[in-house]
Amino acid sequence: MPSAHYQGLVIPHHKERTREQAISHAPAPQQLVLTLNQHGDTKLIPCVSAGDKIRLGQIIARPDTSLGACLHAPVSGTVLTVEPRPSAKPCNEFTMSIVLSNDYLDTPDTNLQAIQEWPSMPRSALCEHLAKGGIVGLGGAAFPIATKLAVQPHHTISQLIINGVECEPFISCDDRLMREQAVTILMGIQIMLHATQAEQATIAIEADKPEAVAAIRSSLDSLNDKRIEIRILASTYPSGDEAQLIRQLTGKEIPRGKLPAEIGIIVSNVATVYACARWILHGEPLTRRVVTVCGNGVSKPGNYLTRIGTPIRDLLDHCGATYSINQRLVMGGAMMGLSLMHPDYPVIKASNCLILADEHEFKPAPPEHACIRCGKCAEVCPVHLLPQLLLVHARLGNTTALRELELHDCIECGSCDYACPSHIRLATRFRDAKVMV
Amino acid sequence: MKLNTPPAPHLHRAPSVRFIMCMVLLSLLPAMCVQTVYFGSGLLLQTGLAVSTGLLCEALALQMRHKPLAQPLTDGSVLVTAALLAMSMPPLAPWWLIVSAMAFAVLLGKHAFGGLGFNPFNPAMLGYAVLLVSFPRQMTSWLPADGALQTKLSLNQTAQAIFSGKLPEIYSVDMLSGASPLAALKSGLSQRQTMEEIFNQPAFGSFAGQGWQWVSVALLLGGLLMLAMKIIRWQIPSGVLLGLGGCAWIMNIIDPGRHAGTLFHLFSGATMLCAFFIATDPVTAATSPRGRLVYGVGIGVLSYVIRDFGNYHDGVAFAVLLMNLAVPLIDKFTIPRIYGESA
Ligand code: SF4
Ligand code: SF4
Repeated sequence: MPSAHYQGLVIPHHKERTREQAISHAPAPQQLVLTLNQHGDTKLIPCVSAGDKIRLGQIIARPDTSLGACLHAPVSGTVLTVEPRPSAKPCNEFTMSIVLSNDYLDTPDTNLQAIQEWPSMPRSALCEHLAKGGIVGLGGAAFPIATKLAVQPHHTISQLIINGVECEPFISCDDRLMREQAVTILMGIQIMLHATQAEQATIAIEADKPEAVAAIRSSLDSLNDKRIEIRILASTYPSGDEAQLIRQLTGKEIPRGKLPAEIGIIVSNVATVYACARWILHGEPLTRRVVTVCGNGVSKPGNYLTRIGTPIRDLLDHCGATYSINQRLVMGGAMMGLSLMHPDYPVIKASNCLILADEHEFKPAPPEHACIRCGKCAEVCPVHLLPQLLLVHARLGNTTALRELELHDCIECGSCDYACPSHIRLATRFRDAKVMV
Repeated sequence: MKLNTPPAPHLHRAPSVRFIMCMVLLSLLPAMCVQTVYFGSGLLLQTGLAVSTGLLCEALALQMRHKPLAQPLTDGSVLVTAALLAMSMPPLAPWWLIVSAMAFAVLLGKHAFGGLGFNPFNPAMLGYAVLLVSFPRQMTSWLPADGALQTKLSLNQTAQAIFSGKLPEIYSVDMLSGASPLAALKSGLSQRQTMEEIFNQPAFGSFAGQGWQWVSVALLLGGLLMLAMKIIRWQIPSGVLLGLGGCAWIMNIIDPGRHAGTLFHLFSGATMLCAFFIATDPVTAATSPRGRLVYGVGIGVLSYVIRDFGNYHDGVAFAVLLMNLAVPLIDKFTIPRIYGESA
């Protein structure tokens, strides 16, 4: 039996240009575009129309199911129009969007309230309230917190895992958040503990973030909450992937096709927990997030607290972007991030990082050669797939074999690509093949 | 403004196939030196012949298949095949032997199946086996290691021997045949000699064949170097050594009078070359870690069986080819357990 333990890739981090940059406010733009599919498959139904006056934090769109996350106005002002606009995810498709004009007054919605007495609230009421804050997983997957908490009646949650791993190269927004907002993050964890009734919460941080560990640890010492612990993980990729994280911390695996709740675990990103705390303690719904902006195309790389819906071009301009030929603009990390065709997409809830890099920083992929079956790809695959065989069958279009080899378990992490001496674009092939199967 | 939109991942750092092949050649170098010291400069000429034939055939095949030449010619895979074949050849074998072996390897072993990566059989072993079956005498005429011989051949004399078959007078044809320790063992046993008598022959050294043992040691060191550089993984070499060594150990216990010991087998013939350099050819090996262990053990056991019970002195080439055939089957039954799948 090959060992089933986690063995990640060691890859250069490229975080040095942003990790020492304190979080600063990105200016609110004149016009914001709020895409109506912020996360995966749930569609949002707009509840405002052109000409409506809106206030900061007001709900402007609701999900079409009871689960999912609402969309709140990141500024006060007027609704200009509701119309299809290009969106980054799915790439370059026109998606219904609400376009807002900012009046720069930030007049708050008076319906929003902080709830200081949350510790005495019944668990279900707290969950219900949490679900209304528009909060989604901010690590990149944008899974609504409401959906995550809804597993509760069917599963008993014993452990909460707070993901501060941030294993993707270039990204440092969670690192900064932990360093600067440790107290609020811990409050968020306490709120989540109450909401899930879990006995224990584990904050996982990669060893390359000693300052974040120190900040969390000192706040934890003064808080003295025995339920919360810190675990430091080796810096490897993709150790922050939910499944790999659980395996490293608990030795357990999520059964095929099931949620972590099946084994009594909920995983939440540090930024998500922070957003929960802001919502409960300050009545502030999720309308802003920290975005790492980096790459050698920007002169002021750093971490920017950005309103959702800010056009990426505005944010990049604020960071001193210069455009030239052969650049690429990546949303997300260097391993899994999406290449954007132009910067005229808005920031969405899932945008954790923007990298504007030229061909020296992101070298063009070397030409592909034939697979020599060396098995390096299989060695590094965190899911223990056999990319070399998947490749053969993807080429042949052999869908039965692809299903047998569990193509659908591929998390598209790109580790196999990174390790392949023939430089075969495996992850891309698998992304395409998934559509075929 | 035009942005490039290549898909993720955006970072690539893997060493190229060329780098890997260069490292294999580097690891092979010590053994080639030792072999030259003990068996003379024939190896160098054989390597030269193999490399030029190999590159020529590769270019020809690529041209015929309308493929670009540059990358396949320079990825180093031809050089590795050539070096492996040259090391397996008797140093004074006539030139047409290695030329045809190499041509078989590249044209039939590799390009008939679609080039590097698509060949089911190890090209070097295919070329070797075809020639071994066709010209058994020439393919096994090993010169005795230097220690057993009074005079050394000059480079000129070696070239003459290879290209025209003429040997200086002090060498008789007898000295060339059956001198390899594995061959001596086989003929000795068939003549009902005792192990002690056999091992007292000049072809034998302190723990295996004279000269051969040190070539094997150098191969072992080269193999360990590749392991340390993670060019190869431990599964196949361990499998081969375990399979062959294990069989030798058992048979030696059962009947020490008719079966040589483990150490002798591990350091004789092409055992080490096979374990670290031939069987580890990724293209023709099983692909999962567990599958590779099975594949290695299979080669080891088959090699021993052919050596001990077959007609040939060494069984490595046939063992490798047979296991190449079994690879699809091994791959099918050794798919690793996927994350989250119940065991
Ligand atoms: S790493 Fe690349 S060359 Fe090696 S087996 Fe995998 S796909 Fe083939
Ligand atoms: S992209 Fe898919 S196949 Fe490749 S390493 Fe990641 S999970 Fe495995």
